Amino acid sequence: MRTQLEGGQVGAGVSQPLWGGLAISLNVQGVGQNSQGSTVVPATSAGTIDGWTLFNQASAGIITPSSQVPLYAAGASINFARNGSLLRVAVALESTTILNTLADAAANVPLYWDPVNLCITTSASSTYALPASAQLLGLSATSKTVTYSGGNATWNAAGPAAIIRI
Amino acid sequence: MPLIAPARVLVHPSRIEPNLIITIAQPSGFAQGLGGKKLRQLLSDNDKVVYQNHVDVRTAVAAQQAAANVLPSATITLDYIQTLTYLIRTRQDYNELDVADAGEYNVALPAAYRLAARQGINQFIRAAFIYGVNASNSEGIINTPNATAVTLPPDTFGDTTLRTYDAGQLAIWFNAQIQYALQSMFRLGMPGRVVLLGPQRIIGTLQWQDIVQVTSYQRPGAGTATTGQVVSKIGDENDVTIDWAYDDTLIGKGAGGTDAVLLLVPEAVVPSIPGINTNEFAKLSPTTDAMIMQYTNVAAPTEITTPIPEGLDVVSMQRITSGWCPRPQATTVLSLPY
Repeated sequence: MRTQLEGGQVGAGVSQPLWGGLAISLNVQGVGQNSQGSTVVPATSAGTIDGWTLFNQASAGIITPSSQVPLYAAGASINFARNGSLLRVAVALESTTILNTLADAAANVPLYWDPVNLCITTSASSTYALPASAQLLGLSATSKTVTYSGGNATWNAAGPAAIIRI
Repeated sequence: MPLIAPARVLVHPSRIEPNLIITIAQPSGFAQGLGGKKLRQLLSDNDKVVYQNHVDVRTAVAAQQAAANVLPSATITLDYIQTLTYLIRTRQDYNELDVADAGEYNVALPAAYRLAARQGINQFIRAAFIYGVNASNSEGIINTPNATAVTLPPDTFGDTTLRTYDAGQLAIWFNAQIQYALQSMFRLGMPGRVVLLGPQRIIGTLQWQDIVQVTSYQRPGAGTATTGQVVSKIGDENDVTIDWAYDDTLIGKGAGGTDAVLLLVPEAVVPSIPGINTNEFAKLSPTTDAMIMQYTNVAAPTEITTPIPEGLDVVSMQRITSGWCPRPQATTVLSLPY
């Protein structure tokens, strides 16, 4: 994990802050400006899912008492894992129903990224297919997932989540 | 806020009793509900907010007959909570003429003003503890987010008010609420303290009137003990002290205009068990056993006395927080129709 954990910078045009476990698209910085790492923006299609944001070591995220999930706004440093790094990443699932349908599934079950609800689902409608190399490793009904509303991100103490290998 | 000390018409001869009849206010028992029974005197004079850090842990292990290298890891999440502080201030101005006028009534005006200022500040501290300075910020114990709220259900005879309720069933209902509060904190079987803070007319009825009726079957205290005595006795036998505390501002503050009684567990030792302890993570220190808190900067209000033209100006002030219950399990709001 440690040697594959990359740091990047949230893109200047990102209006809603990012947090860990989101599908992202990565862009290189300008010539000679590599020090801050790749530019991180939310993925906008199946083909642009280049990696996943991570909370690991990303202690530059900002919390307040009413927004307890670390948030990374435009220009902030954020950590991520790139597809092909083979890292295991915890991602939120859309619902407990989806969680239950994935129980006992094959590791290569087709998964999709919901760009509105910012979670993994099994529906191909208005979602982006994950790269074929992504594998489902495990499921939890009582993980911590993120609820974002009105600029505040809070922990849902018992949310459904999955571990995927990217 | 004037001093009203008018001239009196007296008959001669007469006798003036020297002792005063003073308006009596209720000395609220709210402080019983604080961890350690007192405010935490930890604020600096200018602290605007109190923060407390929070640690959450999610553990994961692999368990296989042989070893592999891809292993899950624990996740430790840190965040924090806050409560605001408020500076309570009051001012008294007087001169030697006011002192002389009050003296005609055998009242020492500087002492009277000092005590009046303290009483006003102390009553505000009480209100801040129970109801919060700003309720919409979830301040005040009665507004604790996610606290359990229970309304007294009808007894088996259909009685819904405290005055008509079956006393034995009422005792068992109170004991049940205490049990639920303790078990939500994993504290059954441990010594401790539970506070029941409510209006005099509720707590008093439990203590003085509600003698458990004799029935065709044996029940605790039947014919001999009141609801309050049964609750206290069973508490004693379980090593849990029941502190009854009174505050009449809770009249009408329960659900639907009923009277509110706050069931508080102000202190909690971290539950533990020898050997394999499934609460091992809670041994992380520093931690606090105070579940219900209110902060202050001074034990009694600071007084600043300033000479002003032809008199004195006395400002009394104290900085406090509202009542704060970071663990909602420590607070149960009981609603009882009187």
